[in-house]
Amino acid sequence: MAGNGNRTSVDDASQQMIDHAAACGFELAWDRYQALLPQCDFGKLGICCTNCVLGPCRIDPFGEGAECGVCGATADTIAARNLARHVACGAASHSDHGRDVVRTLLETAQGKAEGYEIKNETKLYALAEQFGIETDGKDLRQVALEVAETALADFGRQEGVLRLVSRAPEPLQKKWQRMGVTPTGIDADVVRLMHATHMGVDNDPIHILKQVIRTALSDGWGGSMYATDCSDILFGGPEPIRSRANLGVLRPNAVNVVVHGHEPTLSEMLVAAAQSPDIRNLAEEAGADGFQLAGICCTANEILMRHGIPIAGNFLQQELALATGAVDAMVVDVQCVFPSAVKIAKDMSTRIISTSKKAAFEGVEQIEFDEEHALQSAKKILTAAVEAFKQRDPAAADLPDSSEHLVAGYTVESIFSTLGGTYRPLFRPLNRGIMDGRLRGVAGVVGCNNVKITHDWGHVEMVKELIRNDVLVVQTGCSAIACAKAGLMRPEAADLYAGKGLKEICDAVGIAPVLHVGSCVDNSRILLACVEMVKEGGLGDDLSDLPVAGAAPEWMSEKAMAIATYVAASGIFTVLSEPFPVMGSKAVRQYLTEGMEADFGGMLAFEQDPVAAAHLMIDHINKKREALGLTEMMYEMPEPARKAAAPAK
Amino acid sequence: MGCRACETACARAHAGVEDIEKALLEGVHMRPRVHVVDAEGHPVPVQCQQCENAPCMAVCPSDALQRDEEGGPVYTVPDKCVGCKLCVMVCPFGAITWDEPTGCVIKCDVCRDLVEAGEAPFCVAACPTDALAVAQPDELSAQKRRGAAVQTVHVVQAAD
Repeated sequence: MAGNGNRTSVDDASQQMIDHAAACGFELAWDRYQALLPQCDFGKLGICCTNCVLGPCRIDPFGEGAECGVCGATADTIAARNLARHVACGAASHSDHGRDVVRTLLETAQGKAEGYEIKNETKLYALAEQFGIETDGKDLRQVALEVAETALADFGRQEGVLRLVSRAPEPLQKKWQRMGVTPTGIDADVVRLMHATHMGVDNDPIHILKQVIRTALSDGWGGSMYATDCSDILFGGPEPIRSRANLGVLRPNAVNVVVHGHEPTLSEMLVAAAQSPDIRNLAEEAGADGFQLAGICCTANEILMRHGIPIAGNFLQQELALATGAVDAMVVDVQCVFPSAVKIAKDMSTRIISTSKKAAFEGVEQIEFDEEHALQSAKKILTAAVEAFKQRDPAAADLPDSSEHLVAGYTVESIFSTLGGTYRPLFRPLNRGIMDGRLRGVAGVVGCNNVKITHDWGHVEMVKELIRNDVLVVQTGCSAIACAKAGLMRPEAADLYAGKGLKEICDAVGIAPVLHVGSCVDNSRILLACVEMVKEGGLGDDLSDLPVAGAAPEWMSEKAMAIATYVAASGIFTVLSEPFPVMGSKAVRQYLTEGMEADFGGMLAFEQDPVAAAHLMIDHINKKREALGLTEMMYEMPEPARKAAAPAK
Repeated sequence: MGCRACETACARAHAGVEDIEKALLEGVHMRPRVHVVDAEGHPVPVQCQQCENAPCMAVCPSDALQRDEEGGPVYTVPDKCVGCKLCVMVCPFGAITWDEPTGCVIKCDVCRDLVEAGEAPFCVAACPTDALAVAQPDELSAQKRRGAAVQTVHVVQAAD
């Protein structure tokens, strides 16, 4: 079994801290999960409707009680509407993050954002060209201003088509048109979807699902994609970079500052501020051996990709990092931050500092970060961390010393740059490898951690099984962090875990078999990498022709639901561990797992066993290879292990 | 509280599934043996009372309802059920259900394997507010007697 909230991790450093937390009496997510059991089956099945106070209405999943709510909504309508609200929130979260990055670009262009500059002119000019903005005779700031204004207009667009939709292959755009799901404007698509779910609006489950898909696409090819593009323009396009990951990156005598959350605007400035002489002196005067910045969740991925700042851990390690007693400040902004952080830090010197205008925590100090005074805000935060360091009790701290090497910083632009691509990346080696049968295909493995699955086990088992079968893996988010900690992002991992064909490609190109491509908004990079594979030729005309698949083996968030939906609706088969909370509706589950394929070329599957899930992906990739008429795989497939071995307890 | 956790736990247990989402995805047949019924605004779980002189057993023409010992749980033997539904008619609690897909009646057996092993039945274990319990008649009477006695003392003390 997959662990089921039993306070277990396959990551030794995490397990050490889980045990330490128990000894100290700290309550962790696993404990709260146990206390909440049994969780409500009606909620799990998506057949409880609380959208108006005629209810709550719960449909009987066993076919003997109530067949519809007070208003007459069936299990199908209710499950579809509930999914719609989840996806609307997931898309809104990515997109609001994207909007803030675009706004920072705008303010930088206007000279209002202290400390920021445009670091990636190539990408700025490429986006300007795509938008049809005349650049001749204009200075950089003017171009940036026009690009930012144009991008911002896409968030508020009321009609027409979202601009970045044109990046998708023609056949995919046609599918979207035919199904009536082409995104309009990011904000409008979220609002329309919310309207559809109001009592007595959209009642046809399949029609609701189409609206869900439109909004999800508006995230993947809109909000998330703008977040990635504009982060690259502002903070620089990542290049392959070495770093380390796991709790052991924190140092006993440094001022340890953990950034946790999602938006890169502040963490970028913390990186800069930690290097300024006045702040360094402060740390030195306090007797510290400098600052140690480290990240958790996607903020970690953003500053890892661009600066090589090490990673402290992923989603379920946020409380474990605090439990070390060696974190001086945990700087949080938005998304995936446990409210419980306050409780665990209460009896320690650790300061939890909330920085976003959008999020507040009861009992937490707020140092609100604004882009106009970014550097000042960052210095204020680091000064607070130094103060906390002075209070730290070294005897009470318990730091695991393990961390693992990794290489991160892969993007559509940088992935094959070593082979001499210009701005237009050279995907020939990848396509060639697939066509020759060295590589079976490519898989994107992304997503969160979930107390219902042994921590990191799902990610690591799945990815090992994929690379063993010659599937190149690209990763984002907490999934990437899990595999980085497990050593799968070191070039040596090719020798240890990869199939023979994949190993040959890794050796030739000089990459690890598992590539870190960024944060959760950077799943847009994976979409665009697939677009490049189609453009490169030889692997079909649409994303749905490619021998690729996606997965989220430990997912938990609404953002993951939006991502899975846009990836599937872009033509890519996607496997999720936990089922979407819609299984109480036959119509909804059938459309997501079967019907979508005819309409979009991609669909979802739900499988909790990571190795069995990997084989669903491999089977799909094989199906696509066959449809393309590709040659047999060059090397024999290893004997398949179709089920995962239970994780060590 | 009317959460119906007992119902879903019961249906899962009798179908032998742990994961309800996966079971529905695979089309597994599941039905509960306990029903939360609304009684003038109060949710009341209704299930077989395991009657000593069980009318369902008495009326069954094919010996499809059995118990291993006096006072033990009454359970169904699906192979023997002829589907006459007489037990459904005579049960004073409506605790027996005709199950069309399997062609036999179903009822609560207090998860007899579990209880024999000293564990709580699934419905009891699932109840988040401890509103369900397994009690033996002697124990229950003794407990109620104690409660009544204490209450009487309190009433007398209050009167003094």
